[in-house]
Amino acid sequence: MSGIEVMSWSVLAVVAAVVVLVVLTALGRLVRHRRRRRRDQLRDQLRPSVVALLAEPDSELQLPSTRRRAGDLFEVLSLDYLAKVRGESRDALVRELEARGTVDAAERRVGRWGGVGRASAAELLGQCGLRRSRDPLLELLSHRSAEVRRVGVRAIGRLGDAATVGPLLAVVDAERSVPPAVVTQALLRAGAGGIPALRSALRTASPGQRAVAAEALGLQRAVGAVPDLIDHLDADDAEVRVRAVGALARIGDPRACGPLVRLLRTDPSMRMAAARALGELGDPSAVAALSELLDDDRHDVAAAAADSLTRCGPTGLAALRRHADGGGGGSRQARAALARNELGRAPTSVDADYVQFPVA
Amino acid sequence: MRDFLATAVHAFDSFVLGYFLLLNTFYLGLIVLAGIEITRVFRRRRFAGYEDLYTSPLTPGVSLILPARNEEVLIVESVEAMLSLRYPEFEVVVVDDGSTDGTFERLRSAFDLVELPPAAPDDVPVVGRMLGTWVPRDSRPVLVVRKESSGSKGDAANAGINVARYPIVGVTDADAVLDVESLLRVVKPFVDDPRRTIATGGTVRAANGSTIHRGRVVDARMPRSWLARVQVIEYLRSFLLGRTGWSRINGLLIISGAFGMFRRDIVVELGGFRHGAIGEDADLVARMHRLMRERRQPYRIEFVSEPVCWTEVPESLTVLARQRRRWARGLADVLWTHRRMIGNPRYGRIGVVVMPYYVVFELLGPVIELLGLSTALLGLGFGLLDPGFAALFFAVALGYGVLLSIVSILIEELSYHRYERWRDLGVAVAFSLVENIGYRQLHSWWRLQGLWQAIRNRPLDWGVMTRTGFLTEQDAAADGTVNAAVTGTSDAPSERGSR
Repeated sequence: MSGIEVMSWSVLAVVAAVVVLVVLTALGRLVRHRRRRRRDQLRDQLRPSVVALLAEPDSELQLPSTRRRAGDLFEVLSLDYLAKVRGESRDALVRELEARGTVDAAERRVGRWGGVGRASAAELLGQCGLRRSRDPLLELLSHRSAEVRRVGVRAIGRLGDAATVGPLLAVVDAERSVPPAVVTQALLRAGAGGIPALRSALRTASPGQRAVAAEALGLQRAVGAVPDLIDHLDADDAEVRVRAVGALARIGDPRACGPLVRLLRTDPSMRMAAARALGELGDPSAVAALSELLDDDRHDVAAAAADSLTRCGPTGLAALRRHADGGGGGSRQARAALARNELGRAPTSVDADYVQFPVA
Repeated sequence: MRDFLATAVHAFDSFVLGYFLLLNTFYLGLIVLAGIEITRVFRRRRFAGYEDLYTSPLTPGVSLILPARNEEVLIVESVEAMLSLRYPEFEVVVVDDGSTDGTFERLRSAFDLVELPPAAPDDVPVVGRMLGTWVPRDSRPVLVVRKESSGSKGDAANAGINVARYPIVGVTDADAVLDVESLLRVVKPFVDDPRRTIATGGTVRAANGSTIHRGRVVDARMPRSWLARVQVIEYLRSFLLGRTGWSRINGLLIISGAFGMFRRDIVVELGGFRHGAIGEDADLVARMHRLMRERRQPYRIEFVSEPVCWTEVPESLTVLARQRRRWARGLADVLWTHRRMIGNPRYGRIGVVVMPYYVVFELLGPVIELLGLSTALLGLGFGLLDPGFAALFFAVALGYGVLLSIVSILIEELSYHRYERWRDLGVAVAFSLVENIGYRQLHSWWRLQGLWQAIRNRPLDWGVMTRTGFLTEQDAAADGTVNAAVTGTSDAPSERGSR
C-alpha cells in the first residue's frame, strides 16, 4: 500500500470512529433518559405504598404491580428510606425486605466473586442491620480488595453487635487491613455493649488495636476505662499513648490530670496532646505546668498550652494575663489566646488531636 | 539542491508522522485508563460511604485556603458559599494578598472582623510582610490574613498554611465555585488510605454559561461565547486525559490550583509552595513525588474524577493567550527545576514515563506541531510535497483530535452527564470540531510563546536553579525567597484559572 492509501484508510477510519462515537453518545443519552423516566414513574407508583407502610408498620405492604422491576425498585426505595427512618417504621421495611428474599439474596451475593457485587450487597445488609448477617459480613474482612474490606467494616458496624468488636479490632493490623478511623467509627456503632470487649482489648491486644480501642473508649465516654487509659500513658507505642491522651481528654475525668501533667515534659507530640487534653479537663491544678509551656520551642505546643489555660478557670486566665503583660517568651501566645477566648473562639493551634497520618 | 531539500522535507515529515502516532497512542492509552477509572468510581458510588464520612468524628479537618487579590466583587459571596460546604469540620482561610481594592473592607463588614494579636508560626517561609490576622466576632470558622503581595499566589497560600489549624490544607481560588459535596469527595482518599494519600485534586469545569445561585452551580449549561465553548471541551478532555488517566497509574503531576488538597505536614516539610515558581501547584506536586520517591516511601497522589469545582474561563483572546503562555512557562519552569527526575528510574513512573511525556509532548509539542505545519506549507509551496498526501495527513491529524474530544464527551455522557440539554450536547460535539480547526493551532502558538519566554528568562534565575539539584528541598525553598525578588513574576487575577 502506498502512503496515500494508508492515509486514505486512516481518514476513513477516524471519520467512521467519530460518527460511531457521536451516535453512541446520543443513544446512550436516549437510553438513559428512557430508563430514568420509567424508573421515576414506577417510583411514583411505589412511593404511596412504602409511605403507607412507614406510617403504619403493622400493615401489609401492597405493591401496585407484581412485576419484578417493582420488587427491585422497592429494594432501592427502601434503602433510601432506611437511612432516614427509625424505630418501628424501619423494622417494618427491613421485615418486608427479609420477607421478599432481598436479605437472603444479598447474603449470598456477599460470598460471591466480584468486589462490586460483594460491596453493594454488604452495604444493603449494613443498612438492614440484621444480626443474622454477621457471619457473612465478617467473611469480607479478609477480602483482597481494600474497598470491600472498608465497606464490610462499615456494614458490620451498623449491626451494632458487641460480638463483632474483636474481629473489627483485629482488622486494624491484619495483613489486609482497614484504616483505624474507619474501624473506630464502626466500633462506635456497637454502642455501650461493646465497651467491655474494648476494655479487655486495651489490656491484651496488639499496640495498633490498643490505640483504636483507646480512641473508641474515649469517643464512647467510657468512664470505667479511665484507670486503664491512664496506665497506657506510659505505653511503649507512641500511637497508643497519643490515643490514650485523646480518650482521657474526651472523657474529662479529673483523675487523669496528674498523669497528663507529667507528660508535659516528654516529646513534642505528647506535649501537644497532653496540653490540649488538660484544656478539656479544665483542672486548675494544671495551670503551673501549662504556663511553663508558653514559651515552648514548638509553636503548636505553646499555642495549645495557651488555649488550654483559657479553659482552666480564673487561675488559668490570671496566669495568661501575667504572661501577656510580662513581655517574656510566652507573651505572644498568651495575648493571642486571651483574645481568642474573649471572642469565644475555638483554639487556632494545629489540630493534632489524633495522629491521623502516621508517617512511615 | 532540490533533491536534498525534498529528502529533508520527507525525512521531517516521517518524523512528524512518527511523533504524531506516538502522541496519539499515548492519548488513547490515557483515555482508556481514564475510562477504566471512571467506570470503577461509578460502579462504586452506591457504597462510597460519604454519609459515614460526614458523620464520623474522626474525619480529618480541612483548612480551605483562599488566596485573594483584588476580589472585592465576589469575595464575600465566595466565602459564604465555602462556609456552607457539607463537611464536618473545616475553616476558610482568606489570604488578602495586598489587595488595593475593597476586598478586606467587604470582608470586614460582612463578617464583623476583629483583629487577633499576631501568633502565627512560620512553618513555611512567607516573602510578603504579614499585616495581621482577623476573625469574625461570632464563631464562624473564618480567618482573614492580610499580607503584602510578593506577586505570587503560592506565597499567599503559604501565609494561609502557616495559620491553618487542620491536618489537611486545601488551596482554592476566590472565583472557584465548589459543589456542596466537593470537600467530602476530595478528602475521601485521605480517609480510605491515610498512610499513603498525601494529596488529591478535583476535576475543574468551565462555569461560563451555567446558572450559579448563591455560589453553587445549579444548572450546567454550555456558554454562549465560542471561545468559552472551546474551553469547555478542552477542560473536559484534558482533565480526563491528563489527570484521571495519569492518576490511575499514580502519575499525577499537576493538581489544579483551583482545587487541591494536601497533607499539611508534608507541605510544611517541603517548605510550602516555592516562591518564584510560575506553576506553583505543579511544582509542589513534583516536589511531593520527589520527596516520597527519595525516601522510598509508598504514597498516592489521587485525582477525583467527579466534577466538583467550576471556574470562570477567559472569554477574551488576549486574556486567554496570557493565561496559556503562563501555563506553558509554568510547565517549562517545573520541568527545568526538576530536570534531574526526567528519565531517572529512581523516581519510578514519574521519572521514566510522566516527566518525559510532559517534555516530549506537552512542552515540545507546539514546536513540533508548528514546525510540521510550516515545513508542510513550504514543501507544498515548492512542490516538494504531494498535496493529496498533505491534505490526508492533516485530515487524520485533525480527525484524531476530534476523536479524542468525542470520546471525552461520550465518557462524560455515560458517567456524570452534567449537561442535560440535547442542545448542549450538540454544541459540545460541534465544538469538538471547531476546537481542532483554528483554536488548536492558536493554542500551539501561545504555548510556543510561553516556552520562548521561559527560555529567555532562564539566565535570570540560572544561578539558583543550578544549585537546587544539590540542596535539600527546604534549602531550595529558602533560596527561592531570595530568588523571588529577581524573577518578580506577576499574577494578574484575570489570567488565573485552572489547569
